[in-house]
Amino acid sequence: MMANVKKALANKGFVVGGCIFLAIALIALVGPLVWTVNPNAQEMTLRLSAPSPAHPFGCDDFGRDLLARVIAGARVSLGVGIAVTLATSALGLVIGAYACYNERLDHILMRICDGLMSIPGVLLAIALMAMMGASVWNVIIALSIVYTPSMARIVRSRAMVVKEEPFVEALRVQGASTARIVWLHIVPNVMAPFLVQATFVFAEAVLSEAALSFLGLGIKAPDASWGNILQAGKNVMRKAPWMIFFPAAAIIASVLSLNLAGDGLRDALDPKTKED
Amino acid sequence: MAVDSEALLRVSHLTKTYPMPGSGFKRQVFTAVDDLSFEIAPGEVYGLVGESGSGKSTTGRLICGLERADSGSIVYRGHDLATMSERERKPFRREIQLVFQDSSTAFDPRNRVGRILEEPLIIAGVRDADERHGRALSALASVGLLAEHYDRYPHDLSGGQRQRLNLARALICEPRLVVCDEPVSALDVSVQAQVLNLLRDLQRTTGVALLFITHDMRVVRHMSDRIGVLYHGRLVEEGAAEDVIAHPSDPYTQELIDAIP
Amino acid sequence: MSEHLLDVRDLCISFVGRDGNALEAVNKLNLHIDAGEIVGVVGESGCGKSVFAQSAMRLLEHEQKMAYTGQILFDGEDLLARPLKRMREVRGCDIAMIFQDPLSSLNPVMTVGAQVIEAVRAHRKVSRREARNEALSLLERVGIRDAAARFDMYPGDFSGGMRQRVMIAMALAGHPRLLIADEPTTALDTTTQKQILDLLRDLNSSEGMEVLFISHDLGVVTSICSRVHVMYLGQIVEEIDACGLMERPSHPYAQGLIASIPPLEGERVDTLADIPGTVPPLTAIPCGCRFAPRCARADERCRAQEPPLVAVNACDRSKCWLVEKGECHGC
Repeated sequence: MMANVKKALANKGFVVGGCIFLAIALIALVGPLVWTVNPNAQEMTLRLSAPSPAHPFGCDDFGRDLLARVIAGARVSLGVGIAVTLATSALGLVIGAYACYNERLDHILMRICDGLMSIPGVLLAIALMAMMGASVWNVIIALSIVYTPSMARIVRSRAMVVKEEPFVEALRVQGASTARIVWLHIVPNVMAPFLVQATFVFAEAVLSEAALSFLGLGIKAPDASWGNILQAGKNVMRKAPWMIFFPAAAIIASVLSLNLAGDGLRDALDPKTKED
Repeated sequence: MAVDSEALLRVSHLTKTYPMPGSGFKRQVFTAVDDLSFEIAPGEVYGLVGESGSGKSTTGRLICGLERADSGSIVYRGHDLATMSERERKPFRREIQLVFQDSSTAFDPRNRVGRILEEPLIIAGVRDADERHGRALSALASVGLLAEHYDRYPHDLSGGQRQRLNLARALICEPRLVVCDEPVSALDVSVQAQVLNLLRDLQRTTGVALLFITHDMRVVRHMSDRIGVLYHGRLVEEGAAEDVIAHPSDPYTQELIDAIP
Repeated sequence: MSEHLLDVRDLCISFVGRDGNALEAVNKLNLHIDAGEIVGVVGESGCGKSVFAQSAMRLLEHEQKMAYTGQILFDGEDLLARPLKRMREVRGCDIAMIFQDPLSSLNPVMTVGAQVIEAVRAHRKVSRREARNEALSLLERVGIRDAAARFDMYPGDFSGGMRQRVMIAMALAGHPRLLIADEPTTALDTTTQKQILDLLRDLNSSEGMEVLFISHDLGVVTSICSRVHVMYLGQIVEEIDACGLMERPSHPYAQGLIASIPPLEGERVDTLADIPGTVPPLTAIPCGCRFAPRCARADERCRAQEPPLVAVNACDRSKCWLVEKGECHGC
């Protein structure tokens, strides 16, 4: 384990991506304490005003401070990302790990996954949101449903390989229970691809939340989200490009940093690059 | 060696087939073990020798309960393991252990040596951590490993040391039968001799019976009391190890012996 | 000018790590093959035998930075001086190689026949038809029965022994003068191994193809080779006639290896003679004689000074101080 941490920290992509992402997370966390402007306070005289020392990111079409709104959006976007990643990870791990031990369960679960994966992710999310109505919780539920199948598949395929390893057979010969084998021996050995996939799910969740909010199906105004700031900015793109630029930059920075970290993690945890 | 009714393990008419890959809807089958019968007495070393595809490994896996037989019986001390459910079988599990050929995949790469040795004890219900620790240390000593190996990972050990650990793990719950599937084939000659000597010593001192599966006529002669020669899942010859090799009665056995360089 | 087809002189091979540290896998290796000879190299894993075999073809440099000193003279030309790009002209044509695992050396989605045809056409510009005919006769030459019927089958349909025969047929396509066989029978059953060894012996005597045979199996090496080199930790510790190796080896390591083989006849021994300890890693090569820490007969001098490889008699050279004391049995 320590060797893996060391190897991950020696990977440039993981360190750079991780640092950028941590910076964004830090801003989301302590930003409102430092930049105490109310993101929902309207000041019509400042409508679409350009960036200035008082409002570094400028103001939006209701005269609200854009920096405060981007920070508030970060809390929403990253919050949704974390919640979706946690839900997807937990569900995917349980489904994937048990599917490899029960053939019938495997068939049922994997056919459901096949069905869900045959619909483009964003379309499925849009359909689910349209059904459930727009709210933060529904975004989390919809995106978790969208991303669980791919997570379950990755856990299952790796678990299938581990299950055939002689050391698992040795445990069966010793009389170990299925639960013991799954949780103490298979799950720890599927952690590497699992963690890598989790970072990608996080990135995709951030992106999809922005897309849903942009389409008006996600976070509802007046609450800020990177997606709905973009949506509002789209109409005034020429007059106030900063309304597009700052939330878009935030999305790109967080998704890029997560993908960078995920790729780095994959290289670091790949046993083929093991040097010990 | 006379085999009487007190056989530890009596395998009768054991058959195992696998569906042929790519046979599609026609359901062709490949017979890995074909109407196989033999017996192992308590404390006996029975060598099962054959080439690849002879069904020798499958036989070992059937006896250990890693596969289910199509038909036939595996009677262990009066109980037929072949027809038992997983639950009924559980109390017999620790009495029949398995030693693998490839010691690099035989252990959870995330567990240290100590944990690897204590796990069978945990499964067997030994609750006292001090007792487990003590038994793990004495198991290490019994196979010629040191107490300092307790905190190592298996990949820090050499191939020979890992195979010693493999033996220690198989013996820690004091089984009555150990199935050794090509236990020294992956080792270098000089290390092979060390492990064979160790296995022989351990067998003598603990009185455990061994089913010794190998392709190597020299090794099987050295280790076994009796041997059975497998060919396409069938037992073609059986007898005292030295006799079979000195005077083979079956043409296939003769061919195997002639091919030894 | 060397009169031997293959003449290796003072060869040292090192892997160069990314940090610039070098690990020496082969140390001052001298070896030659006389005309029409099958010469063996035998040793345990990590002794450098495969590194040596692959270096003769310069196969390792594609993936790994290597450092060489000494010479590998093939027909008088130093292969190590040849630019890596021009090694292709040597590989397959003058020197061919077969490996332990014939399955991973064959392309699973290409028919066996097509692969042999490809090997034929890689060396000579011949028509498709001619190449096919030659491929067929090569497959027949290596003992594949019904070669015409099996021509369009895939490697997966072949047994291990037949795959190794196909590999040999492909190796023969360029009419090589030297065949390097790196553990060619290790993955095979004993009865199949015997057939492959018979085939190699036959090719050696009928085509005059010289063979460098690498193996960990003393029995195999002595049965096919005329001369055997025993390697330990990158060095040749003994060079001896094959018939002498089993009966009177002079190096304690070779003696230990022979003694640890369980006998096939006679009284069964209770305890096999073994060599204590394990082969140390290349990062911790002992001083003096490299075998000294595991040798029962080692003394102060062995631990301090490396012995030279000296002649014990006409057919045996040994790298051991005992030779000087006259404590080695003669041939």
